[in-house]
Amino acid sequence: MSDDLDDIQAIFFEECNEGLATAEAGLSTMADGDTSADVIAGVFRAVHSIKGGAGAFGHEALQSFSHIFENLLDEVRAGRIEPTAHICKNMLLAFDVLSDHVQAAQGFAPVPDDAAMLATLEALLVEGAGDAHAEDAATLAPSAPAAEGEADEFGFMPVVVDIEDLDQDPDPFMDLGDGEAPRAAEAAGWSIRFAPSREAMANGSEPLLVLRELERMGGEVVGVETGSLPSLREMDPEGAYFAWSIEMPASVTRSDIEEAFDFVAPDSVVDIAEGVAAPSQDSTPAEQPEAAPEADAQPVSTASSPNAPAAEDKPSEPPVKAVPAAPPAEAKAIEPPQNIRVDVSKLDMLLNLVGELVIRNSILADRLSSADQQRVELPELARLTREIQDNVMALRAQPIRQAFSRVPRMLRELCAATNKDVALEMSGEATEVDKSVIEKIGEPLTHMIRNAVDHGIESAQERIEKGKPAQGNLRLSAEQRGARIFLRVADDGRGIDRERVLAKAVEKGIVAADATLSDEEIDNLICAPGFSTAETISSISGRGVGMDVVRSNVEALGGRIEITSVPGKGTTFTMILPLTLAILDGMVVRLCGQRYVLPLSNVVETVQPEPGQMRPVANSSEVIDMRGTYVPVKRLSELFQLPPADREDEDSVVIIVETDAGNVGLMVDTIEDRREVVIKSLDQNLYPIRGLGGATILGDGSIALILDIEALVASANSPNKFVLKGMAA
Amino acid sequence: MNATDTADLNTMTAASVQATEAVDDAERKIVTFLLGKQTFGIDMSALIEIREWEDPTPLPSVPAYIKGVTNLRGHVVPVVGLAERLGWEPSVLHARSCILVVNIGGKHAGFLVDEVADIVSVADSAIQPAPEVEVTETSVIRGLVEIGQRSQDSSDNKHQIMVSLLDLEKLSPTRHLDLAA
Repeated sequence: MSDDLDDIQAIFFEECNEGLATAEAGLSTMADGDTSADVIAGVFRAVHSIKGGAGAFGHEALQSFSHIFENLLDEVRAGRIEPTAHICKNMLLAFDVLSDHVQAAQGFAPVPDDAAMLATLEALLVEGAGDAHAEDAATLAPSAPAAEGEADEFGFMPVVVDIEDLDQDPDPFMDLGDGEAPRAAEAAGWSIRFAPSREAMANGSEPLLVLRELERMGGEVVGVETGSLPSLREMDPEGAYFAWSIEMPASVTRSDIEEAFDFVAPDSVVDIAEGVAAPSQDSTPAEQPEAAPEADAQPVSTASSPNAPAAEDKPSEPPVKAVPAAPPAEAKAIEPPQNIRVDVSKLDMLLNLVGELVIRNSILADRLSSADQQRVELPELARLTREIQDNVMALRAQPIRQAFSRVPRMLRELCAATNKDVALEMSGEATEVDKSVIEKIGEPLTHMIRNAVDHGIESAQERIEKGKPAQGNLRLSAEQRGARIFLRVADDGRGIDRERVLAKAVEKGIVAADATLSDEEIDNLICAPGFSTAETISSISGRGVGMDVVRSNVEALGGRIEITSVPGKGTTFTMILPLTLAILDGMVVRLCGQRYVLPLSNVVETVQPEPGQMRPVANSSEVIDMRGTYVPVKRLSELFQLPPADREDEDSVVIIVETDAGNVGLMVDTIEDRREVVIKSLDQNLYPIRGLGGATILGDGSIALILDIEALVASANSPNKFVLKGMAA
Repeated sequence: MNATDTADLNTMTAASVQATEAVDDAERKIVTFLLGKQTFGIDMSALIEIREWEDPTPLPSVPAYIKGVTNLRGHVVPVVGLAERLGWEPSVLHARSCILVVNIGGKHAGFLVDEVADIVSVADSAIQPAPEVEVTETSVIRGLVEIGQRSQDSSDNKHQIMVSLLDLEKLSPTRHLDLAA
């Protein structure tokens, strides 16, 4: 049972994280000035859901904090508190504490000290809405978890023993509420019947909490059905056997009522009917399938109450059967949330299989005679395969917003730590990339933003002296171009101090003292291993493990980093990443008996050199004359230190590839094929090798290495030859 | 692993079970193999399969002992020349050369050895710590154990041989990254 609970709890935490993302997005929108009802309601719902789940799972600290936060949001939603900038700012801070609470509830972090934040929230509540709600908040928060703990252990025992023969009498249950007599004058606007599923308690959904929530909204428990209660001997002490009739005042909206049922277990029966209705005591087996066996034994179903039909006769609002632990039934009708949760590893498996299918498909095509290739089945099969592949890729595509979502908070904390004021601009959050990419850009992104705030953006005073606005600006953008995604972090800070960077690099022995480097090369030095210019080691950055880690992470993804910096104006870091890490459109080439794959996206054209078209220049470098333009040529065999091919240049093929450093020709023996390949990363069993984007398995079972053209050409051009990772030992 | 290998292993296992005497303390199965003139052993539990030698796809810019990568049922697995890794002359390939594919902390790697010898059970208590003979070797040898060798000829006078148990963790081809860091 505890395993089940763990599973459900895992789902709860997943929903928490989604809720947090929604809340943060909403709060940010509010902070930007859009305080429309929809936005506020969205945030409220998210926090409310977290509170509900927290209560159900006994995360008291999380529950009581989210409760107070929710109260404030409720006041704002109801228009009793104006969502001023001050309020929004504090709500964002409260959100941060809430995130910490969620982390703590998951055991990832210690329980945060929320006393100060709670005091702030309470103060805001008092300021805005008078003392009633603040009092409410103060008293409810501590009492709810305590009551819940009690209910878990003993809540049902006294009930069973005391009123076994009173199943038609609601009175003994009034002690669940506030003890007051039913307020007849306050005509009930809603009549609710709530029969939690038998497993409700085991599933972590505590009916008592729902009842308390309804009572808080002004509801009254007017009846309890005890018909399905078995004899003591047969009773499961953790089972839920009762059904309640509750009346709610008309002032409560239907959606509020439904929200109260957000966290009841699946298969519970929730009927919400409009109109004044006296409690309905009967339960028919059809209505309460779980109770069926017991209902047979006890003659409850025959006692038909005249009020029940009255309630059901209302044509305007037929009873709604909600499937709890899912969005409310009503919302379902509006936007059908046809989502299922799928384990990512299953998607990975599917993608792998589709990849193999693609490969087999092209092998099949190769093996067939040309006459057979013309037949309609083969192109059709190829089309279907490609469509499956596209669809699987689409399944894994996620908006990059997920990676951006933690940036606002990080920036708030960075600003607080560095005492700087930085505004964040984000664009292109909807750009979709493969899930694997999203997972892996978080860390590089964090480093780049830390760098920008810590090193790039100046203090407010310094900025004013330079005639810049006091508030710094950080732009985070994502953009898709072809099969690559461009991710930019741009600040309007002081730019890279090239003199200092160069001095530091010389001091650290990264470059020779007499080296002459271009501005671009100097900028790139900040990515060199062990380089850090921070004068003092701060907790934010400056430990010298920043940018080189970023670079190696990005390169491991088959991407690269570009740095552009204008002194006094700012620095832009651009991460250029592949859209997917799984499948590559490649050109298979042969060299010294081995096959290699070049990403087709890099290939511009291929040429078989004419005699005299290749010309040696300087020492050991060559160019090829391409219609009057000289393009440098690298011999792949030399780059890989393979034995020189004993074939004439004219028998070889030069593949012109596009790189950051302009077009470059790569000389290989022959071109074999064009093929989609499934990328197998080398670091799965080995480690990434610079110049290789991974490996792939060809149709005959042999392995072909995938070339990382950028890294290959960069390492060939580099004056001080990169220390290849594999050579380190 | 092809069919004959499997058959070989089965007979080996059967033989070793017969040869094993009941010992009280914990036993482990080790796979012994020859490299040069020495007998080495690795934990049977780490072994995934024994493959015939097949030229792997060479990798650029890697230490010489990494012979390349090979396809192990859809996984790209590095192949390490164990002799070179230990700082010896490279093994000369012959008909009995084979690759021991092992699992080292979830990562797979193949090691080229001269010949697989046997599968034996040894008691944990019989394993002695490796003496500090030579710096390079002790670092990868976890312990020494004496086993009775099955007689190659028909004579039944068993003689004891010493097996050096390898510490696979230390031989992992990904390990030098940590060293370099």
